[in-house]
Amino acid sequence: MKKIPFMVLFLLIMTGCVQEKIIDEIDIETAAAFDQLKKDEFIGTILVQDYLPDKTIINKVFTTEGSLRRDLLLNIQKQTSGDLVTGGLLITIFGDKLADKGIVDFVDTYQRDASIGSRNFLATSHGSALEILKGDYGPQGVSNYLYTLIEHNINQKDVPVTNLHIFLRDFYIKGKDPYLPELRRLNKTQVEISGLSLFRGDREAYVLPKEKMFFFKLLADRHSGEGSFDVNIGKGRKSAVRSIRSKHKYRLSKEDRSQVNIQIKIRGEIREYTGIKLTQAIVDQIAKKLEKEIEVECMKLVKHFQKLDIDPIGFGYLHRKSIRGYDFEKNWKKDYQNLTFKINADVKILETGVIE
Amino acid sequence: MKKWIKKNQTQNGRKQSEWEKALEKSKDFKKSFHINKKTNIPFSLTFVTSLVDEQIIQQSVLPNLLADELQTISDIKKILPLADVEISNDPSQIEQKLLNGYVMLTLKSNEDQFGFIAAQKEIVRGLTTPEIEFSVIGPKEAFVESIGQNINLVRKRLPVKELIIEEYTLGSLSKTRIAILYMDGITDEENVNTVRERITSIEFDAITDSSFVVQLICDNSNSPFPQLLDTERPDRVSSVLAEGKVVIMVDGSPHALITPTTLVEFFGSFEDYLLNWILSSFFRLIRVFAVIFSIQITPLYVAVLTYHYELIPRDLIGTLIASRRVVPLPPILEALFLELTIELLREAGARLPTKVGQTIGIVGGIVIGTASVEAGLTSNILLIFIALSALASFTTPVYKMANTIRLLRFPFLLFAQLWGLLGIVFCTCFLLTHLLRLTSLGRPYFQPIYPPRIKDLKDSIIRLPFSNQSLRPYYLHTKNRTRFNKEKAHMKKDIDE
Repeated sequence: MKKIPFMVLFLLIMTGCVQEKIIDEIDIETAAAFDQLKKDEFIGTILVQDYLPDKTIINKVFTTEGSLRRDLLLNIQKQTSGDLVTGGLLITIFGDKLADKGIVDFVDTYQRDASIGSRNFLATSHGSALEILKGDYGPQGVSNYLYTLIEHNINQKDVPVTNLHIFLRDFYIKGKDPYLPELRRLNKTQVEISGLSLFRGDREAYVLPKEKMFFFKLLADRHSGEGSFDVNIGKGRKSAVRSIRSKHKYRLSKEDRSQVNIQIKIRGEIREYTGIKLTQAIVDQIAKKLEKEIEVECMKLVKHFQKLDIDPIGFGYLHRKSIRGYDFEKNWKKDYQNLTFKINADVKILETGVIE
Repeated sequence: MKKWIKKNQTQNGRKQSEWEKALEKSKDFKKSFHINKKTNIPFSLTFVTSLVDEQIIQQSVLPNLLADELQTISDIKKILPLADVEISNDPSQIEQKLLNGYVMLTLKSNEDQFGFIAAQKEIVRGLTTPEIEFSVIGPKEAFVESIGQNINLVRKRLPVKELIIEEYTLGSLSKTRIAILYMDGITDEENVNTVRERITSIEFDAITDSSFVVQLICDNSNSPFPQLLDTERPDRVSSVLAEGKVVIMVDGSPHALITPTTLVEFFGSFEDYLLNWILSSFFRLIRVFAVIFSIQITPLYVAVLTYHYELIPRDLIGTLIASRRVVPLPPILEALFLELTIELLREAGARLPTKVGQTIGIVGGIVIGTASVEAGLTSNILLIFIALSALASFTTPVYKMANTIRLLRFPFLLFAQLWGLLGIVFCTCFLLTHLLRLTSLGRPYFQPIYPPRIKDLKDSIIRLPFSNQSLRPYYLHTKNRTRFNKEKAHMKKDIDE
């Protein structure tokens, strides 16, 4: 019985250890953008969404300059009315100049802050990142808009899966380089995913144009039943292959360890066809055409990556895990340049529509 | 020694006059003198008018005593057309008998012998429908305030000699009759013994209701949880008797007590047995969900809004902030304000007559709720949560448990404010530990979840069909575990042949 007063006392004393953060009294950072100003000086932009009682959203943008990320946050605290907290972060955008110089210093803070979820998005921008945050993209608010823009493109379209967690994994793993979607501001109310930034380490090395992203997703991720691609089989006959599901498989060839066999399996449905009648022969022709196109385009991509000496697909990691005792540090740079690829695409058209 | 003898002497010598003196102060004590017409023997009748049925005296007792031949006191057995007539020469019985509604007859010639004639006036409320445990389908009989009537209702449903009814009279002032009901050959002797011991060792002056007994014999009187299940349904009583439980009935109380009981039993209503097992399992699961929801939702709201903004989904945060924008109070005060409003409404509704009570509930809920949102005292999201949790707390079929559940959320609220989610976890641990330690007459209360009795789950938070209920619950340690032949129960002659 003596324990109870002691416990009550303990509880009351310990409450001082928790810091209250009542949601309407704090400013929740929902998006951030970083740009290079000049050497060793950055512009940091933070977007705070304010919600009014009539359910409208106000985007408040705070901008400051500084030489360290920590400086940026501290400076911005001086501008906000409430305590600025980072837990609501949805997306961080890095300006193109900054991406060329390396972004890992900025991302590092994110992995150390427990309140930041690992599933928020990172992106690069074509041009200034600050300008993207200053746009106005409709009633759901800037950060929500940008977040759902990337999210639905990952789930349904051609952007390969990416988030903070995947970026950090790709960055720290030996034998793989990270990639991030690139955003481009079209005008004050429009923004688009303009491509995919491929990194060497934490520096942007190449921007994959958006036309090629379908093939990159085949190689780096999988289409999960929502992908689509248009096939042109000549004579003005075009068809759209939809509901694409894909899988890929990498193996080092048994005979020649410097050859990578890439197996890409695709299942899709034809939803649109501009010819007169869709016969089985034409369906087969479309499948063949698609196979061919995938093989050629993917080969172009991997060759290009090899030339640039970037490895977003993770051939280095494949080597490391497939060859016992492989001295990665010593041999990989040379081996990568000697790597050959064999791509085998397998396309099956499962359905051609309801009415025969 | 001397003192003791003296005390006894005076007691023996003055005994008769002492009860007479004490009773004479009461207005309803009556002593009347008559003379038999045939034998001219004078006799007297003594009784308490408020306890006896004067019609019996006027129609059956007095005419016969006056007209028929009355020589000695033993003649009254022949004369009176009544079954319960006793003759005794023990003066210590007099007081008890008189106060139980007997009429005492003495002959002037022999004042040492007394005849006791049963003429009790039984005022029994007519049978009504169960009000607390109302069910749409099924029997509509409920217990009343008379133990005789109540036992009759149970006996009717279990007309076997195995149904044993033991009776005790307890309470130094109230002299309440308490009955223990169990099935011989089924119920565990140990359970019966525990109940018997607990009942007989009750030290209390006036036991006016079975709720007194619950509090007097429960294992842990500091627990907010009811440890005996009380019911007003005779059908429920007979069905648990058949399962091998012990039932306690108290005279003057329309509620029987069922023991040993478990926590999950409080979330089952008797209607569950009247419905198909799929439906009743669904309803039971809903009730369990409702309880958890009712206890946790407001504390979660307070904890998340005060400490853990990170946990709020991206789409919800806007709604939450927007609704709290104009509220000047921190979440805890806002929540306490609304919780107390609901408690006030409930308490006011319970104290007022039914019709006014309902109006208070509806008007109060709507008016105070909307007004406080419009005044900016509370956020409308919290108002929805509180209303839902109040609604959920009323789904518990046992009234006493529903009260407990409403109380439980306040410590949770306090801890949520002090420590956030950690506080809620802490409080949940405390609650679970308490439930694990709690016993109902020595049997684990949290059973069959812990100690785990997989087979007993068949009638707990879900209810399997009757054909799967061929064994009595394991935790009751019944002498005969089989209720019926399972194979035969499965067979349907017209289909199987």
